[in-house]
Amino acid sequence: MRVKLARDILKANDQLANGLRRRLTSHGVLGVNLIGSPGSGKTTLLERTIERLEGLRVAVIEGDIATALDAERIERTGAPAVQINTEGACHLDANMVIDAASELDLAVLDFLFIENVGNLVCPAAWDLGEDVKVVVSSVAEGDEKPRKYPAVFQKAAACVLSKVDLLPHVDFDIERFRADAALLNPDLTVLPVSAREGTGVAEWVAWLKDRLTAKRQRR
Amino acid sequence: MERILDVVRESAAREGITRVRTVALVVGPRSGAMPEALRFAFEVLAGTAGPGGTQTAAGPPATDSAAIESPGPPGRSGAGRGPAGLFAEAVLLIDVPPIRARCRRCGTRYGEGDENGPDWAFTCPACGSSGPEFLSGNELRLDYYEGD
Repeated sequence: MRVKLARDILKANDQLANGLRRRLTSHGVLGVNLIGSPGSGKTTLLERTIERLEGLRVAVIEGDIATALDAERIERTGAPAVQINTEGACHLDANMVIDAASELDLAVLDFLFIENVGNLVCPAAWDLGEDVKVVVSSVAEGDEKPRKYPAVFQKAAACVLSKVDLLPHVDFDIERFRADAALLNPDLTVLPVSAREGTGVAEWVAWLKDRLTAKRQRR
Repeated sequence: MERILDVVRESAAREGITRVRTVALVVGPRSGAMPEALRFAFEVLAGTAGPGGTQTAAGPPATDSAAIESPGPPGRSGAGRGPAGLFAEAVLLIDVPPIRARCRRCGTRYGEGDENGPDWAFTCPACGSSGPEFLSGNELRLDYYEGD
């Protein structure tokens, strides 16, 4: 006997994610899911971002396989941070994020950043209830990342091209990177940033504030 | 994979099925899931692990559609994993559908399986637009199971 089920395996995750998205929307919070390779500069970007968002209320959920090092770095900026240890899993899922969010008061926030586990593959497939996915790709990783990992570039609203202060020292063709990213996703905003030197951080923060404003106007 | 087997287990209990013969998944190339990893998880969780090996059959009709079978050797029981031996002889079938897209500007449908396959960025072969709507290839679905 054949039993037809036609069950979407990620449906349970997507339903949880939609629930969290509704809660964020009811509080007027912008949820940002940061996805990038290990060492692409996600946590350093967040540190500089929180400093520049002075006056706005930010919380961070940190995803790592092990350690609370990133949450400790965020807490030093004064922003509340919750660390998730996935103990081997290569991505966050909506259930983990909802658990972590229960330790935060969403009603008093403007931004909720979710730093995903360092990985350009699996996180692209998992909806965490965010409003926007942002891919962080450093110039040190090479300019072929859009070609090698198209899914995450297709799903992201913005790409922070990080560590641009290293451009003189690496073989990175920024025009090739931009052209490939645009071919995959014509709506992708590419933001070159050096968190170390401060280049481009203002433009990135302005992009975030625009998204928050746009979300609140839609409400 | 654990959730998949739970769903089948619950359904089998309702349907009065005591032996599951086949579990069929649809796993799109854009889903982020790896058929090999799913097959391994199935063997471990269903208790069918063994020297069964993997068969890759050409799936009909497109050449880029493949079915991967993971037969469990008969005799190994799935003891201790729910109703005795429910999955002991179960075979995992994975259908990998081709990636198909529709151009948002000119409406052309294209993708894997076409005579001249798509370029790496899936730009429209007719008008060159990028960022199409993907019609298939994202699936991660428990399609059906068979048993008696």
